[in-house]
Amino acid sequence: MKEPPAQVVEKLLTVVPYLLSRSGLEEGPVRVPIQELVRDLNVSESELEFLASVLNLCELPPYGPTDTFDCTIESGWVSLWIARAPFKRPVRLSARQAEVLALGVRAVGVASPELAEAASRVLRKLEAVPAEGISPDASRILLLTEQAEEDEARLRQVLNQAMTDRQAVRLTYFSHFAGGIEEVLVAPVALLLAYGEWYLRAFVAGRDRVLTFRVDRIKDAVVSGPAGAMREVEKPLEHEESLTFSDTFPVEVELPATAARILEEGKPPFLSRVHYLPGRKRARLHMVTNSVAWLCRLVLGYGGAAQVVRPPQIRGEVARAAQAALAVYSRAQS
Amino acid sequence: MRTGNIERLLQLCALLMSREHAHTARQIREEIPYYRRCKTATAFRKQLQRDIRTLREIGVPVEVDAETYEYSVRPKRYHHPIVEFTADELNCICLATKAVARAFPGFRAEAEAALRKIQFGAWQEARAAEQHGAHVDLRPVAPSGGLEEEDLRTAAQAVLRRWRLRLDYQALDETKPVERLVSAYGLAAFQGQWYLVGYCHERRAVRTFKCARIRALRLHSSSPDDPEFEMPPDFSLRDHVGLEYWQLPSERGPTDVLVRFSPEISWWARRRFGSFASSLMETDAGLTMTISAANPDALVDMLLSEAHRAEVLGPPGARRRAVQALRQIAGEHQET
Repeated sequence: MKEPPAQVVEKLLTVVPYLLSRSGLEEGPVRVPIQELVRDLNVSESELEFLASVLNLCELPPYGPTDTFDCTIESGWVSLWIARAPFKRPVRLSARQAEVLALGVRAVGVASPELAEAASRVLRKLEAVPAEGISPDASRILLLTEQAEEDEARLRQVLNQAMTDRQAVRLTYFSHFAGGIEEVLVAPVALLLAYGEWYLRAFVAGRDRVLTFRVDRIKDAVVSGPAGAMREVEKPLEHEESLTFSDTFPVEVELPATAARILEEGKPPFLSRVHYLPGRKRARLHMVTNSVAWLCRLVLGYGGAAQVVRPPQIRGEVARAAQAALAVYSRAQS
Repeated sequence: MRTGNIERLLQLCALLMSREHAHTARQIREEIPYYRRCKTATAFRKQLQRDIRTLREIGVPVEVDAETYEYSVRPKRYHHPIVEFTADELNCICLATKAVARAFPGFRAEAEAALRKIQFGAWQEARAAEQHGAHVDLRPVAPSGGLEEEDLRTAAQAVLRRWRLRLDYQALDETKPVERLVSAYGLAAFQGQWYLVGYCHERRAVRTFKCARIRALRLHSSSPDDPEFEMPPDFSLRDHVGLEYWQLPSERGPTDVLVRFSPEISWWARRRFGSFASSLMETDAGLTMTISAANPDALVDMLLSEAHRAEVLGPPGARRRAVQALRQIAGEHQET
């Protein structure tokens, strides 16, 4: 336990009133299942053991025989007794705590239109709570996310409800990896807001694995019945893991050094190494992918500034994608 | 950890709350064993001031009477008030705590402490809200992206307290870092990266600094107490962060780009560009829309990634750029 004393005191000033609120001071020792404390206060069992040991060493003024804490943890129960303690409720939010929470609430409001109204109500309530109020400067720290569209919010609601009800969902999805629209039957596992985008992690029927889908590319999601027959995946996987490809092949792409540096800063999982060419005007990316369609998108999106160096068959695929696009341009404009 | 510090802080807090009257420093010293053991009056005073600052930082409203120098904590001001939150508000708070813990590890303790206080007495409702949002996770930035945790915290402190920062910043087109003095106006996470926005004293203008390019960061003054600058009244962080490349001003100036998306992805195009577009028209050939682009070249390049599913119809310069780029790509990648 390496927490600074202030943080420990802050926790004690919540744990003590929590335990006391479970009965009354005069009603003798309080006994609360340790799991309830762990869940309600978001503290670990080892933390609780430490906090109990600290409390047992503390005497409060005026230091009479009943002014000491008696806190024990035994057989899954926590008990606390003290004759009188002035801490009836937790200490109010500090200005910093309110500011930090407001920072997160604002981000939720932007990311989830369905929670935007709730977020602004929370902010109003938070502003009224601490005596000093939230500093106006606090609004100058932002967790910006893409402004989600209404129909995307509706999709997320469908997916969230399906997860709660353990339902399977049929997705119509615009896949950059498959190179077009595909229909898949999935058991949703988790919704994740990462890198400014919403993602769905879902177990995919027929592929026997959990895949990641960008929510803004889901055209439609229709609940199709219980997900019971599909493999249960209880624990959401880490996002970093979700972006790790399998069945990959190596690719080498050359592009301007500035573009390479921007990619490098994002630390994308597909990027193995960047080699800057003499003069440092151009760079070669050594990367892995499992999708030709995805690689074609990447190269085309640099508007002619990027080239696939190897393997040769991928160079051919990029040329074909560019020619297919040119064919559209060669039609008479209507 | 020395539990003596914790006991002393708890005792001071309890003492200041326990009676109706306030306490002088001398009375506090007599009542708390640790302070009695201080060797000099100066050592005691310094320790008391540090402890009061610590208590205030965690929210304990210690008041000092300006005339009598008596200290007190009024229980009414001490206790977190009962604020009722609805289920969706609690859900929002749970998600917000997760978002802060992921994006801003340096503020995790504050966010979790705030959540504990807010949920106090409403455990059942909080549990229900948490269960409702259990499948949702917010990670606005990559945990490894940008500055070190401690540097990010320093930058946030500078924004909140209006302090100046010294940065060693390596711009994209520079080969080595250059020192910059910056009045920290704002800090924002966007698309997996942190950005610091501030007045750059070397460039004499507001600049946006990508935190991944900051090689070192420190406060300009070693221990600033007061704000070091005034905020421009019309400053808005959103004017500087949160724009895509094609939305950033360019030499060519803003241009209306007419684009047709194939029927296959017209729903996606509407979702993706709808808020920047005008004159939307859907036909059997697809969705045609005019997108207002601050940097039309960047928009055209981005649209090329849609290959045959997006066609730039105009203006002629934009269409020409698309065709030339596609010809170049096709030529350069031709199998030999």
